[in-house]
Amino acid sequence: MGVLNDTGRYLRTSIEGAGYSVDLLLRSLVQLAFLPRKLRPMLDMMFAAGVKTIPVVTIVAVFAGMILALQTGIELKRIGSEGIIGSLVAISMTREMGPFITALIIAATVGSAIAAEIGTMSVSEEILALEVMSIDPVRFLVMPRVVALSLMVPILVALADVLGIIGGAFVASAQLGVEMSNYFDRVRESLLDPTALLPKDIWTGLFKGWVFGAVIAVVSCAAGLRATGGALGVGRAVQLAVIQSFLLIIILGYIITWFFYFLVPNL
Amino acid sequence: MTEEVTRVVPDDCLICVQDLHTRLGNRKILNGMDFSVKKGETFVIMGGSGGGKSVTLKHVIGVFRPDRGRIIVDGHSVPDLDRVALMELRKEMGYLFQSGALINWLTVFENVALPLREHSKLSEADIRDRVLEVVSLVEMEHALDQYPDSISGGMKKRAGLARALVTGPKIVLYDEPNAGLDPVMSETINRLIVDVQKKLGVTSVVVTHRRACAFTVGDRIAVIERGRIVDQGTQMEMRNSSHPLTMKFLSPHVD
Repeated sequence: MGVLNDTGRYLRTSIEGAGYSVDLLLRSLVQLAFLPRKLRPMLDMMFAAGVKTIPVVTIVAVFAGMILALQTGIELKRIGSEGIIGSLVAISMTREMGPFITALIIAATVGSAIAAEIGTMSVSEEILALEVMSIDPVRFLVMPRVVALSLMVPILVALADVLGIIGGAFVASAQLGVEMSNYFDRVRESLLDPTALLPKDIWTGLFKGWVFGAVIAVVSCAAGLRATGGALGVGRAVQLAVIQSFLLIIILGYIITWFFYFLVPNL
Repeated sequence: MTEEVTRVVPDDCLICVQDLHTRLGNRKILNGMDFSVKKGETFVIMGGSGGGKSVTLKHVIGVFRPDRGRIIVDGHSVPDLDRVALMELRKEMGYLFQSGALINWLTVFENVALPLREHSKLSEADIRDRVLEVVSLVEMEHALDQYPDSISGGMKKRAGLARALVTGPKIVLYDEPNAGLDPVMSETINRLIVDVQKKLGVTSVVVTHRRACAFTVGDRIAVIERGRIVDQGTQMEMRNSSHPLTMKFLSPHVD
């Protein structure tokens, strides 16, 4: 009975948490009308999320591209097809790896910081103070963060894509004997679509970045706003924000790929 | 609903709490809380920790909803107000939190200016003038550019009081204004509460367990136990009260 009770309680808490996050997202959308008055906190958040995470994103993206090139290149070289490494790295980075690694970095660094900051405000009555001053915490805290991350993550994704492809180029030329010009020709061939302004692999990746940014912000704000019980509660909020963000990034990443490449492949 | 209730509330009553019952989790916190506060009056609620003092204040400002009972503030039945109406009513009220509850990434000036920046259409120059006016009332002009982390507990409370007063509220609610302060700073805060009442004519409810605070600021004093008022009256009446809890709380040997 204890296990059943615990499972039931866990499920109820999870469903309540999911409902709260969805409600928070909708309330943030309603508050978008007040964005012009919240440009300063939004730009501050963009700076914190974007500029400050560039070094980490750079290192991880370059190495992700290098690993991709090396792992696939070793096998391709055995069958004499190392020439297509450029295509593989370009498609993998733009469609999946770029958005995925960027979102994980943002969830771990910025999302956790948002949960800690808002969680501390919750347990020290600062959120309550906003409410008794008739200041909506969603307008004041959540909406600027959601907008900032949903704008900043796609920019970081684009950066990660470029850096990952460059990282792959180094490995392909230095360790696998692929001509640099050949590598970039393959990248260009696989990404560029003469019929579209922006190639599908690139815009689906950027779209993922946009969704991931909004999700990380909402989930982290929700965890912070629901924090109770002092420092321990703030710690739990950070943990919850990171776990939920990671899970949603993986699940939504799959759903978005499935939607654009299987459900409506001609979009 | 509001019209029906206002008929039974005396005209000079700005806050009227009637037969309030509230349970938080499995614990009964308020058990028939009943009091009223006249316009311009300072009403003090005394009682031990966990007796329901702060919860009562949070009902008055609409943070908690009661299981049963009425809360009428300025003619409005607080539990029946929708979100927008409640936000409008709260603009007429100031609330001083135990910890000050200043936003930790804003300076003292930005904290005090916050309600004006969010709600009013005043120019930045007018906001600055208004902030300086209330900050001088609480004698915090020297700390305008400091962040909450770098100021003392007493300064946080004074800054919190300035923020509560900046919009010119009709009602100010004080939650343990002396908690965690040394006797000198406690006396300063008590004097401030009296000054605010005299200069601005606000109606106040002060929750405290300090006898000195109750006798310095209170026009009327109530003593609560287990979520209900067991004794109340003017300072003189309470000094002469024979209720054992009142005698205990107001004894000079206790404070």
